[in-house]
Amino acid sequence: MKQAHHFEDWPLPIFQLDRELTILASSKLASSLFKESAVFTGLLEEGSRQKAVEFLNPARSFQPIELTFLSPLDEPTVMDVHTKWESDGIANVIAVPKDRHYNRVFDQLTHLRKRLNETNYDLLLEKERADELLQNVRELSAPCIKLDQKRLLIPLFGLIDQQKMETVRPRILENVYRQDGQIVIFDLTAMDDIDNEGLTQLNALIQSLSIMGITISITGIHPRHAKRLHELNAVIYATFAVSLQDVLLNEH
Amino acid sequence: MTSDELADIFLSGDDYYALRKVRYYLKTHTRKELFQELLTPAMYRIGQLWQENVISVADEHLATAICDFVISATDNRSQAEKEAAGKVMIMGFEGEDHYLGLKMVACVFREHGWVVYDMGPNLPLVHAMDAAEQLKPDVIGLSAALVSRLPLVKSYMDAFGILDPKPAVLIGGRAVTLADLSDAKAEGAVVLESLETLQNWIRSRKERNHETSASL
Repeated sequence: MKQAHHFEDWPLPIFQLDRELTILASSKLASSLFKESAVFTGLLEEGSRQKAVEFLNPARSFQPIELTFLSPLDEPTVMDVHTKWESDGIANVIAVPKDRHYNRVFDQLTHLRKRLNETNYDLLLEKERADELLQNVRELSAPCIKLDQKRLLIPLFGLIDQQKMETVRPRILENVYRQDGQIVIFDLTAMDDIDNEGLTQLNALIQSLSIMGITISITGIHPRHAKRLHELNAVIYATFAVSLQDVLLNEH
Repeated sequence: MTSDELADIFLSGDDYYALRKVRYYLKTHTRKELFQELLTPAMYRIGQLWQENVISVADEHLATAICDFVISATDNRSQAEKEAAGKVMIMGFEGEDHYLGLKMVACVFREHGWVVYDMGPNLPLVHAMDAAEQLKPDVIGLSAALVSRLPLVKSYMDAFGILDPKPAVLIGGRAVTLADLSDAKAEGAVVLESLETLQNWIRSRKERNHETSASL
């Protein structure tokens, strides 16, 4: 690519092209800003090549066109390209960088979008962690405490809903079976509230236990729970006691 | 509403009008239809208008931002909360900033109950590998709009091949409709030309998984 003497020091990328868009001459800045190429389209990003071929001809070059150039490091830069064709079929072409303010705003927007995306992603990871912790809490909300050879105490903690019961149910059945318990005492003192699905599930658990031949006691019932248990309108295979102490004393 | 009309609304910059129109369309159409029949052709149309020197890059960015807003505002995240059909990580190749396609792909996966990690466009391979080792996705989706990115396919595929468990690799985006990807296919990648084919792939995978679990 030879440099024409009369415009090589211009402070803008300037080219002389023929009809085939071969670069006949260019300013110094053109060779430092863009990739090296013998043809003009070789300086452009793939999405701009066809546009350059269509618009850089004597019949259409009245208006400036936007083209995306590639820097030597393949970074895209949009520029306005002004062209004037001479009668000998040579074009003088000037590429004018976009207004700096425009670039600044565009970079800022890109940055904001990336931040939003990253925040979104971080939130997703946090949510997964929170879900995991919640599952841990569920698993811990019905521990099986072995009192003696025969008896297991199971206090229920917090709000009892379907998900919590589904989490603890298999573990309770497994524990009772493994520890060969004969009496299971559910203590509801620390139980916050129980919704309808939780209640149905709890009753199902009690039924499963009684089929296994286990005697079940329920204690620590708050008036609020009592109302709920009544609403269930089902036979509950368990005896009820006012306090844990009563159950423990009665068993002996 | 035609996709050309929607392109004009995007270019006008009226975000809420665009959203109203799209919500109305969604009453009688699926999200996949919205993406495939309306948004994608509207954005191709906008690219074409730039090619024809009718609009500037600034207009194009405005339209992209509004399309982005519409996709986000109509995204249905509740489905992915209900069932965990699988984990997918999606990204664009390094050196390319097209991201609307990724967002649409994320929506389609979510609608089928998948957990989606959208890593965004222009993701260098080292970062992709870090994230994949941490997240252990069942599927990795790669998107390219520019054909010039496709030579990178092999290096990404080779890197993902050493992950344990090895994820399925999907490649999509406008570039795959313009170039030949038989090499990537030979290495085991699934090349998907449209959201339609993506949806079919998700469905057939679900059926396959059912059959596998039924035969166990």
